[in-house]
Amino acid sequence: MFDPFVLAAYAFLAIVRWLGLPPLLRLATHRGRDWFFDVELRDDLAVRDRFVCDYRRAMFATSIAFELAALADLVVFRAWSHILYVQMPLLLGVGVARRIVLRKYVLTARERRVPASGERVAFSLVPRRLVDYTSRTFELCNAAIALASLAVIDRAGRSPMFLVAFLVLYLHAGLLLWKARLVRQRVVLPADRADEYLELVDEAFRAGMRTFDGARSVVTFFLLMLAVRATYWDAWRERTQTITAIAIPVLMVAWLVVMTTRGRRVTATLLARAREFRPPAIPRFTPDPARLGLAGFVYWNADDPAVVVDGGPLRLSINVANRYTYVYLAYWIVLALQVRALAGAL
Amino acid sequence: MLLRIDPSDRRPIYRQVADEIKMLIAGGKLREGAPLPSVRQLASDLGVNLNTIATAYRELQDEGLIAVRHGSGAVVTSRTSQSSGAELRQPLRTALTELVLGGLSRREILNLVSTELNDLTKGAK
Repeated sequence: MFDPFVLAAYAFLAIVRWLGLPPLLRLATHRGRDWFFDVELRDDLAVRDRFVCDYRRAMFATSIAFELAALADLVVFRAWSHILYVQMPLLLGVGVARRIVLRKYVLTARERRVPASGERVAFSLVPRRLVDYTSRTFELCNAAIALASLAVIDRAGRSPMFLVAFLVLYLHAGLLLWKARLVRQRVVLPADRADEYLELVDEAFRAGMRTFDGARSVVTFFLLMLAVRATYWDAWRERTQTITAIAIPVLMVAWLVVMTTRGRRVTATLLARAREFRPPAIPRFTPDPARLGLAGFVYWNADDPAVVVDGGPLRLSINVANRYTYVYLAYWIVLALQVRALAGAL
Repeated sequence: MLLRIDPSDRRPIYRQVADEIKMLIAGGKLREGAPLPSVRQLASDLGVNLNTIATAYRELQDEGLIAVRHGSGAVVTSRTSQSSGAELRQPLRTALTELVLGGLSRREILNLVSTELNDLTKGAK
């Protein structure tokens, strides 16, 4: 027999996994059949269509492979613990795999773009800082609730629950790290109407940041619910269990619905405005092959600000001379250690 | 505030960056105290090595136009270059030589210089 909670968790994660796919398929030609995302392809129409079709097939095949793995795990193990150790990493894994496919096709498309005759590009001279995309009140409330919840769970003396709460808080920090990374992402503007284009980019940035903050507030709510569960007394045992058991899935689904609806509306508006501009020709830079190692997966250049560069069979080489590479690597290692510690405690 | 880069320009990227920032400072578009992005942000946007932007910033710093704060970008410090009179005249002389050799008359050169100067100092007080 399947545990209904395991089934519900699987269904929720499967919906989240598949929700990310349609925009990736649809956005490839949002500017028309001549384009692949923001790159105008120089080939004839049949070749362009085949290129887009190949991309969609690769994206679909990647998603199916991950879904089959998740389904097999559910059918074979039916275990609650696998939601944490298998299903959630698969959710993360499919996101990364789709990014790799997307990156490979975007880089290939840039090689096949209509040649630009010395097209000028512009860059913003305004520093982009995380603090400019952060609401101080939101951050203070978020941090206060998260840390207070953690303290309450710690005082309750329930070791596995504290480990879960600490893991959730760590994921919270990971989202913040990701947000900081987004702020630093590359912004290239067309030389004509660069000011208006920059305004649009900034709006897209802010919309993305709001989504992140929305996700982080759900994580904080989850921590708060854990604290409620950790501190209930016997008379309230039944009631608090029901509250947390219902409130968490209801809030997660509600958040998903609100975010998807809002995200679709904002994306549609921003894309409609983006189509008024001719996107800039992003300058292409290929890493020095002499600095690539380990079959092209590793790159060594302390002078290169990029963490990931275009190299190797997957067109993805990690710059191991960049200090940020170690920050991200350390994050994943600590996360894996925490999951292992939690597995031992449960 | 925007920095425009021309891939077909024969000048190296660091020179284009330094010249563009100088023009923005001269034109009053970048005022004293205005922050500039960190070397890492600008290098990342342009897709160039850190050293390329560091060289441009160092040159501007040597001329006393900006102050680089380690790890947190740079700020515009002054609208007055610390170069001497002779140093300032040399590039003007070179540019004028090119214009004369290009066959432009004295009047055309004066008009050209006047237009460029007006464009450059449009936002300056």
